[in-house]
Amino acid sequence: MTQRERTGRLTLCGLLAAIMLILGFVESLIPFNFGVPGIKLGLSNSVLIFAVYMLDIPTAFLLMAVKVTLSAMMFGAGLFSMPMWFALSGGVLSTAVMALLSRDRDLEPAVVSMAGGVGHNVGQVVMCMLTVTRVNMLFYMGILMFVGMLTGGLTGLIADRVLRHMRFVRR
Amino acid sequence: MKRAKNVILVAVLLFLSLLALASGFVLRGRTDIDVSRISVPGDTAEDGGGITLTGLP
Repeated sequence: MTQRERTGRLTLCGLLAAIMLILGFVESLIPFNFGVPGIKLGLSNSVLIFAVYMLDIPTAFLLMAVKVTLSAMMFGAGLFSMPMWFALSGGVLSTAVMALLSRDRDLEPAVVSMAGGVGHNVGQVVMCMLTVTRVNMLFYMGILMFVGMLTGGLTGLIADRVLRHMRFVRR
Repeated sequence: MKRAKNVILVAVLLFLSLLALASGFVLRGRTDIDVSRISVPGDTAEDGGGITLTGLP
């Protein structure tokens, strides 16, 4: 990789991290109330799936970690707070699932994103269950998995549309 | 083949969601926490937000 390519990659990563943060913040301003707490669109996931397909897996993990950390510091409960660890565990599982499934080129990005959405919620709730050592969060996890499928599919569709127009950004 | 793979993955996800929901429903009667006692304070990091349980002993 030449110096020019490295600079381009670094710039792109910075832009993607900024977009993720902005989407996360804008999303927090939209009042969603479906009766179940914790439901969000997860628009920043579309950026993550873009990174998984267009950049490489370590970069996608790094972007997720940067987003979680900065978001917790700027808009959340603070650095190393419990919600940050929940978000991080969800993010790690979600990115791992998407990275694994994206290797199969037959799978549509929207479907991979659905799995990522489910993985995110599973990661968060499992961390929550481990922290409070209760198994009865399963019911809540079931609801969140359904919602994760829907929102993941939506963000995946958005990412798919963007990917079609951004083929010039190569791995 | 391509379509089948996508459909299978969605079906698996749906099945897992149903399984979690059913397991949770079965276990729910034996425990003392319900969904209404879960709160999400402010905006937290990744999509889905952070989950904080309230009212726990």
